[in-house]
Amino acid sequence: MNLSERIYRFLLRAYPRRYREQFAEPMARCFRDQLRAASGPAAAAGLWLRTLADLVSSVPARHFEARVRVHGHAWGAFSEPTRLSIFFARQEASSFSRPEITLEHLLLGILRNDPDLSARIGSQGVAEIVQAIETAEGVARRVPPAEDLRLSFAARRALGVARIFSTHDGADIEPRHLLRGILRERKSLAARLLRERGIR
Amino acid sequence: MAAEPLTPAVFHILVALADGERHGYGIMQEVAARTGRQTIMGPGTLYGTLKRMLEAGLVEECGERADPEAGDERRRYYRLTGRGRKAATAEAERLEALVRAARSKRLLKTRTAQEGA
Repeated sequence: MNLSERIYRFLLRAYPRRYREQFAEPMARCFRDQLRAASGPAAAAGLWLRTLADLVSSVPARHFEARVRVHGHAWGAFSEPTRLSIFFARQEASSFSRPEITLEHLLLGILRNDPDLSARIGSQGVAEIVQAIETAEGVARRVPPAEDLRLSFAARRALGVARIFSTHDGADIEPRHLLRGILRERKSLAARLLRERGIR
Repeated sequence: MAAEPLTPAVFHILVALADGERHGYGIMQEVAARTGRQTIMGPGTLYGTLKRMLEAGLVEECGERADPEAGDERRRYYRLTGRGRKAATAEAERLEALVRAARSKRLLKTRTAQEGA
């Protein structure tokens, strides 16, 4: 193991422990492969510059995600459709240049991924919800960049409620539990839009 | 509901895995080669994105094995799920529609059948 790889492995300690356990070894192997492919000191210096920039942007993002776990929302508790809904919610938030994922983004994420809910609301109702949220956002959508966002306080609270309902059902957190969490945030735009379309 | 854009990092990884399983460095190489080295993902970006895609069920791990091009070193391989393939197709169709629109507004030259072959 050469000096560069040792330094990189040391820097990987900045990531959260759980993330390191899963990904530190393949990341170190990747870096080693990149080092081997870098021919000459200039290429190696360029690789280090890119790698440091990559660390600076990705280490805080992984800690944000780890913080979500501390609030009691380990990914293992979510069903696969719910994970995908949150994944889409992150993109929705990013497309509106928002610094965090709100209840409305969660609702858009669920609508993109839950045909049952879309069927209950109807295509016209879905279009109206999307339009209402886009109007409330007040900015044009952009192509979302690769960035990491945290959940808003209200969205974290909704996830907490969803978890309580899922525990009561003896199941993973499903989109329907997430919807109930959103509905509990009664004053939110997302809850109002759902209530107006008979989802209670 | 119409599909909204995927992030560039997610789409690059989906495309890299569309024709078969790859390990992390293989994905990085494929993305760099396909974009003329305009997009070089670092390990932090790559594995952070892969982590979220694993959680969302867009990709899955398919075991560790040695890469013939990297000696005896074992690598963790990833592949697309059915859901990942659908997401990649939806995004490709969205981009194709954008390119068609750009071509119709003469931002791009119309390719002849001979050029396209």
